[in-house]
Amino acid sequence: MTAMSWIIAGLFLPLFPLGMVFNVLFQRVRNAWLRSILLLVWPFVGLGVLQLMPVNVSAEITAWALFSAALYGFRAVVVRDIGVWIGFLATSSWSLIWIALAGGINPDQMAMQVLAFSLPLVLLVLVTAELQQRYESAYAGIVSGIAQGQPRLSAIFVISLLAAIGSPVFPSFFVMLSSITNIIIVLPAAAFGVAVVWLLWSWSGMQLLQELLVGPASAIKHSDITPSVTTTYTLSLVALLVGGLYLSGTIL
Amino acid sequence: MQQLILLVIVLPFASAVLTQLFSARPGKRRTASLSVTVAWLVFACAAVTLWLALSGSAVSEYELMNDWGIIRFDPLSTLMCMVIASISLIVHLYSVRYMVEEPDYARFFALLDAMTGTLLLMVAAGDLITLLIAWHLVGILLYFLLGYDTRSRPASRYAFWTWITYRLGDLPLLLAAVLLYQAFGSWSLTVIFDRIAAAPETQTVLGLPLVEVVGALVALAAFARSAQLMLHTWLPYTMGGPTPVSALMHAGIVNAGGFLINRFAPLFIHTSDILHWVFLVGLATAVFGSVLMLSQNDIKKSLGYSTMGQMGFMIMECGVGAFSLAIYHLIAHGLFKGTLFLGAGGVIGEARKDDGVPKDPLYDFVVEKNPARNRKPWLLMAAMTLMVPAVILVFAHWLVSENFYQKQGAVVLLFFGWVTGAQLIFSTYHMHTGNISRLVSQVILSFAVVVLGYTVISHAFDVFLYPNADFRESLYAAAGINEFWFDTLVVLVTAIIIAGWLRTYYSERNGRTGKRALRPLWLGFYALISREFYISDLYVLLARRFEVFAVRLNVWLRWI
Repeated sequence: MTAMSWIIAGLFLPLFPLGMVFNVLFQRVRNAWLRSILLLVWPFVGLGVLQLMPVNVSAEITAWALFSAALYGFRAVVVRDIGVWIGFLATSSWSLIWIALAGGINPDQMAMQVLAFSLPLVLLVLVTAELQQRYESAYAGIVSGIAQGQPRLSAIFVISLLAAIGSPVFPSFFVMLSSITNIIIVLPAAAFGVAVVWLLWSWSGMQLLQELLVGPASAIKHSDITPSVTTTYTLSLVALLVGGLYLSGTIL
Repeated sequence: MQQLILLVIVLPFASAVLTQLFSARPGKRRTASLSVTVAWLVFACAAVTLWLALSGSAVSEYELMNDWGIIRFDPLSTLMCMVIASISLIVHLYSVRYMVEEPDYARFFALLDAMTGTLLLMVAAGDLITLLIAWHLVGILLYFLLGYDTRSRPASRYAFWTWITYRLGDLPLLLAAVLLYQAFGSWSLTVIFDRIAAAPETQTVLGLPLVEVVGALVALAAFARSAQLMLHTWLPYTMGGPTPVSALMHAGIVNAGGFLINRFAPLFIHTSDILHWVFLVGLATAVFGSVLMLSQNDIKKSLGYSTMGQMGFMIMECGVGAFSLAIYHLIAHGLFKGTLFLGAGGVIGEARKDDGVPKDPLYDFVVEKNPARNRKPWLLMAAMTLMVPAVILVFAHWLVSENFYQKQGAVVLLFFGWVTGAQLIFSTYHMHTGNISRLVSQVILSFAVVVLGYTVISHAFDVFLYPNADFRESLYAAAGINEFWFDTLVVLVTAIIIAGWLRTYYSERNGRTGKRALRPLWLGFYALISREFYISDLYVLLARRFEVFAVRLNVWLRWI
């Protein structure tokens, strides 16, 4: 594998500091649909490079990927801008694809694993856009008390966020479980590291929720999402749950 | 009929979904009615499954997915299902009126149903993935139940403490699960336990013995869930949630540690040192929790530390090999603590009118620390205290097993009985009564309860949960220690208990005299316990440093 291929792979399956490129781009793009496309396409470019030039992931690359995942997971703990948070979580989760490669993952399953990480984030981007439309900002702390003001929107936001941070039985839960299972014997320290990254996601996700949901409702009345929009999001979440159960049968 | 256990698990989840769906319709009570009706149904189904288990139905499993999603019908799962269904039903009934003025009434019942279903799934899980899913979900649902009042920032903050401690406790269980899977190639608990029995010497990463590593990880997960020392700070502070949630948490959820250790009993019988550590952690927690319980002036916080102390006892029982006694303990504790929480509001209401503290000799002795010289039957009571262990031994020898004296676990249980019996006798002795024969008969009755509690009931639980006598022996053997050290500890603990009694006698005879020299020491100790040994402060400090470091890093890297 050439140096250029390494850089491209490290850029699209982000390894620090190359992950910064994605985050700059993600923060510049404000449109929710473009952000969603970015979340869906970006890691697949990396996967494409790896499939064109199969790579043997060394212990150094594994350590670097784990460091990148942990770094973005750790930094996400104090992020209150939901857009930035989504970017950090995407960077952190895609870095773990390298660990899955080190664990000898079947190449056919890689795409599913990437989707398991990206789809909940896409949903979160769309829900965040709803929030931004109402409050002109998606900054937890500045926007707060949405559980009181917009109960339907907050319920969808909570479940989407839980899906993104690897809660059961969403696809990312099974991907994390499978990654740890595959590497625990060959790289026990890395398995422990992945578990810690998972803990950091939980920490940061709940911190964000807390700031956003809790508190009195905004003095200015904002509308909630309509029942039909709620149903659409709910069906998407149910599809994710079903996808998680399907994935469990494939990767575990 | 054993398939009924599937219904026990599915019903609460169905109720959660339906309650949420119907929440938009008018009529709060109607929403609650659905949830309560399902709670009754779950209770009835759980009762039938327990009856089936008691009447000797064979252990069976139902696999819903490929190698996972296994639901297990066995004595432990049916008994725990019954406990959870009972507590959930009581909490449901209590909440119908208690929560009626709260906004999002339906959300509360939906969360309560989801939590009941998850707990039932956890205790009936027959494979590691299902267990992990339920274990993880309990933390999530508890977060939302504790933070139910979304206007309250303190409630939310402490719900977050609980969440992060639970997630911390998820990790050891996760690692234990994947190590077991890698060693035996299956997620099924039955398969794994059979393979451990066939090859207990199996090694895992770095050539370490698998059962010891997994045993330690499972114990760690249990410690986080059951608020053991250093992982306890969430428990006394999570009082911002609604009272029914506190009752459910203290009566049911926090007991999960004892259940988990019992579920992995077939693994623990092959460990050598893990149960000793479990005992030590439980002991430290029991002492720490009890000391802090006594020093609280907030009734709910005091109950929180009381739960911590009780959880310490429960884990300690596992540590001495009395696994089934831990289950009995968690049931008994669940019932009395649930009652205390649900009654706390009434007690506080009454206390606003009358403090309820009687101005009698007991008050004089306990609160005012005045000597009670006119108490005559002290020696009789002390003699009875000494008789307690002897009679327990005789009863146990007669009722339970002829070689009862030779079992270390039994002797440790005897100490539990002794201390509890002595405490009861001490309390009874201080009761204000002019009728000495009535006093003595009360003492004998209390003593009989202790004997029954610690021998016959624990034996009955033992036989039900672990019908194989050799297996029960193995559990005690795994917890056993060197005979010399055991005898030394027995003598030491006996000496401490007798010294305590002598100290009490001396205090009673002489009141406060002779305490001045120790006053600074006691004040220092009081300062320490009033800050709860600074453990929460330390965690808050560490968390803040952690966050400050993350902020600096983000600023340095320009938030990209």
